[in-house]
Amino acid sequence: MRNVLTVCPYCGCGCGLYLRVDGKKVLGTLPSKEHPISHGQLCLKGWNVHSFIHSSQRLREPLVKADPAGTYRGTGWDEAYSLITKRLMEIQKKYGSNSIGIIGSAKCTNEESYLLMKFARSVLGTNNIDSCVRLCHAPTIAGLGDSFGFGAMTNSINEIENAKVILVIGSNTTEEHPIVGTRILKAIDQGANLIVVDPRRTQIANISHLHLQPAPGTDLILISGLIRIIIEENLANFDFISRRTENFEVVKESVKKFTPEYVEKTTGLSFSNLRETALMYGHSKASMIIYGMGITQHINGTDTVQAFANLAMLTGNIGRESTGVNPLIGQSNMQGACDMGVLPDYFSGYQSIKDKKNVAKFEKAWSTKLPADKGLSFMEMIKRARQGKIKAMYIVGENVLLSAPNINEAIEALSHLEFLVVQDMFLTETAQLANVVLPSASFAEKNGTFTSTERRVQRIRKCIEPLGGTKPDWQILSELAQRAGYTEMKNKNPREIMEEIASITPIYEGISYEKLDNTAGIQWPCFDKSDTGATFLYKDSFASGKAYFIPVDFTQGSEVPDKEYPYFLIAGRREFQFHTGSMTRKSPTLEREFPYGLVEINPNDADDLKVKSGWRVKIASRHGELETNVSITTAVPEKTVFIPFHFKEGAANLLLGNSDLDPKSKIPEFKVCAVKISSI
Amino acid sequence: MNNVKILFKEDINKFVQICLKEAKVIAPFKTTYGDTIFSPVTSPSEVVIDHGYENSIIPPKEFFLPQEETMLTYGRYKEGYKFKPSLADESKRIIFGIRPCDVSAILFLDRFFRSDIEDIYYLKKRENTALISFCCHEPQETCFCICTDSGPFLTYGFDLQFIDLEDRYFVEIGTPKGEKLIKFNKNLFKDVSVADEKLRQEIVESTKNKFKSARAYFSKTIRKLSEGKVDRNVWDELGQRCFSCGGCSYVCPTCSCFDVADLLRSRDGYSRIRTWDSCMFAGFTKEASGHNPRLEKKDRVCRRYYHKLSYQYVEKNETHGCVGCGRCIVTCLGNINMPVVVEKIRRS
Ligand code: SF4
Ligand code: SF4
Ligand code: SF4
Repeated sequence: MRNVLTVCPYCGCGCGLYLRVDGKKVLGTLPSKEHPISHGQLCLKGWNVHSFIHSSQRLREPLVKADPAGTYRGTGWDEAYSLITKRLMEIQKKYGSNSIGIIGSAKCTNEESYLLMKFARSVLGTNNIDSCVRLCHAPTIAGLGDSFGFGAMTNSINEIENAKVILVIGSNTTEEHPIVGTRILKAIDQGANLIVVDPRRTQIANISHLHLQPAPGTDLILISGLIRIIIEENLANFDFISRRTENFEVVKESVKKFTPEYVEKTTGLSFSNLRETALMYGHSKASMIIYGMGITQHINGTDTVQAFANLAMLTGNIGRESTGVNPLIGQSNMQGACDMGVLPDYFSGYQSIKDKKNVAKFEKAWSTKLPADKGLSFMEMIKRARQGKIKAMYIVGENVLLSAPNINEAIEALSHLEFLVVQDMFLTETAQLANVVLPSASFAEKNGTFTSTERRVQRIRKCIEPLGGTKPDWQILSELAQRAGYTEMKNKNPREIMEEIASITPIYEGISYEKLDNTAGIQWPCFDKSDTGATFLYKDSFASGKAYFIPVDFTQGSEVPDKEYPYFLIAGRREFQFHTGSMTRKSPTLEREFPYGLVEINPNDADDLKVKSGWRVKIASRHGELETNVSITTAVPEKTVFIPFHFKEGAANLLLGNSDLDPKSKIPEFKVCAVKISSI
Repeated sequence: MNNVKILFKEDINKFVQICLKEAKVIAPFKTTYGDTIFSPVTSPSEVVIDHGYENSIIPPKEFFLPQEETMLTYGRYKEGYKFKPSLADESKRIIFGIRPCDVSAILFLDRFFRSDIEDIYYLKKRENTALISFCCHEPQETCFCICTDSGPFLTYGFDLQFIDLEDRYFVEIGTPKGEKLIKFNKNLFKDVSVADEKLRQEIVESTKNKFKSARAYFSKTIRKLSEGKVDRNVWDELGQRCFSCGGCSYVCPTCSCFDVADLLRSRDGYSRIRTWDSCMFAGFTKEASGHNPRLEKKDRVCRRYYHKLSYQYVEKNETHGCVGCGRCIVTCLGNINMPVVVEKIRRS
């Protein structure tokens, strides 16, 4: 039996675990005790990572759609590659490069994401590349990027336990990021105060000192209100503001309208609770803000993230240990996909494509001519596909249908395409629409690196050979590029790809496999060989010297409950399933915990509706409808219901359809939707 | 008194070599990353049994009840369904360097897997495995076997027990299986002197004082729990902290729950596998109707400790269900663990 140290492929915590390998089989998982994040612990998903690897549902050979009815025929790699290159080149010629769209994955390694963006820009000649980060954390990338310099967690997971005040907002931490949850518990045990802002009464809300349940979608107002109170109570840190920031006066002016009366009225919270929160946060010198997708998946997403930045700067709670603004990234390598430039407007390391110098640098390194026009984001690609303007898409490891906000719209868009390629381990709902499906290897079958939510770049290691018939994503991309006649992607192995990444990406410049193999990972930025990375950012200066206060204002989304659709719907995840379930639903233990979709309803609402636990109900929004099972719980407040989004039988995304996008980050309004419920 | 011998440390590698010839040797193995894991070894140099080697992250119970084990495979062929049992591994094995707490736990598991229905998957492996236990002189901070009466020195349960006497080991022979291992190389093992006996005694005494963790007051706790005198708040509070990760059951050397599932694992058919399970999962007690008698986490935490500590079970299992290995202290995401629970109950 071999024990191979690798990284958990599920959430963004980045736990270190051993896969236990007997011959060609992965038979078990155990946590690493020496690992700085896992400390001998894993969540249930982590303990069961081995269980999807050998699933019989894994794809074992490339599939080509044989007829429009959707029957597939297995084929060899050769034929699949020929077909793909031929069709993509035809489409490129006929409609231009920008008629092709590429969607990357938060589950691919950094090396694979880098190759994908190189493939998109060099071979396909388009900047139309994005990933599901657009559906989760685009506001973080855009928001924190503009305020501080980097769109990433400013501090580290291990610093949480020494914080004095923790403000958790829009994050069901114990279920979504269990290891972060443990550190918060530890902080509380050591005397920290925890404030949780969430319309739902989650586990972390249960153990908080103060639980604020604002009306869904009003977090921005709440934060702006806090900023105003802190200024009025003279808790602003003027020394920090004048030394390290710019534009404070404008924000000071802009929060004036967030009067106690206005905030109370819109959020439904009491002023005394708000004041208590403001005083707690403002008085402490180690206040940490931790937030999740409850914040970002809104039309106000970027503005709210920037309001957090303002709050942190206002009190000087940034640039030191146990402070900062800390987004919890949902998937194992979503941070890495962004770092690697799987974004329509950036090359790897957040080097803007708008900057001519960057373009010239990449053109030289890749011996190619690069497209100059800004690419389309995820939702824009879907929209254009629906309009018939995007003709072909190349999707890697993403079950777009279940993760996009409006399934019906996404199905329509993908069905409109002339050509769709999907690379995945399973024949997901999305793959079932593809013309060609390429079977990829799992994380246990390849080498590479993942970057966790705290910017920690770590090695994942190959434990077994790719299951017969599959190939790692990096190899597929490299071979395909060569087929297309591009010779700059003849990569022998991931190590070599990382060398290329380091040579061209300043924040990864000091990272090499050699260094990673001797450490538990390196937290970027890591600028040179001797650099050991940074546990927290902006100690002495922000990315461009000073941080910037950005004034923000509240935009009311169009999805508010009314007479016809009286309930707020919140969509989110539950602890035992992961994302769209393409991996977790293959594990018997996980599947047993939470086997079907459901809707959580408050007991009073259930009385009104005359429904009982376990009953089937129909839920309809202005955009679609679904049937699911009732679960009655006081975890949701009255007039609010919650649906997890892991299940194709009752996927919350059937109901969302609001085409409002956050103007700054292009994330769709995900979290708030108005619905009606009827028993069947 | 057990039969006793002396083995000089310079000869230990030779002894490992003999063991390797006799059987598959499973020993504590230190990964390059510094973690200690029990793993099959092929040479004495891989075995880590230096003075205070840490106990492994998961207990050696995995070699009797693996995290995942195929019990049989079946599929439909032209001739109809065909079933192929995948019987337990019957190769000879030695677990070299198992700690006393884990030996005690295996005795506990033996009783479980022998009672009622004899579990051949477990018992076959158990029969063919010898346990060579190494006593702990440097307990870890999390160890409390001294409170549970399951270490750090045992009087029975092991096949061989090694006690470190600086330059040599004091070797106690517990069973004929152990006796046989010694017989293979008689001249490696020397006779015991009076001074050896004395030193052994001194070490046994002095080790007792090295246990750091506050003593867990088991008897009082067991009494309170069995008499139903535990305040509900205790379970409420603990339940709030549980993440339902199952880790406490997975790492506990006395936990024996498993789940059986039929999975489509290949094109030809199904594998019936059994995997570790945990009473901390909602799915563990969920009934077909959807009703769940232990829906709430607090009820599951309560149940877990009730099973480990109440008279009812202590009587049935001949002892309480904790051997003080301290693994749940490390692995619990919510810092719910045996010493914490015992203390909370005692004070409630
Ligand atoms: S899902 Fe997250 S918390 Fe759970 S084991 Fe994996 S990385 Fe750790
Ligand atoms: S309850 Fe905890 S300390 Fe006791 S045997 Fe189990 S894991 Fe070890
Ligand atoms: S280890 Fe702790 S958190 Fe996990 S199931 Fe057990 S008690 Fe709950």
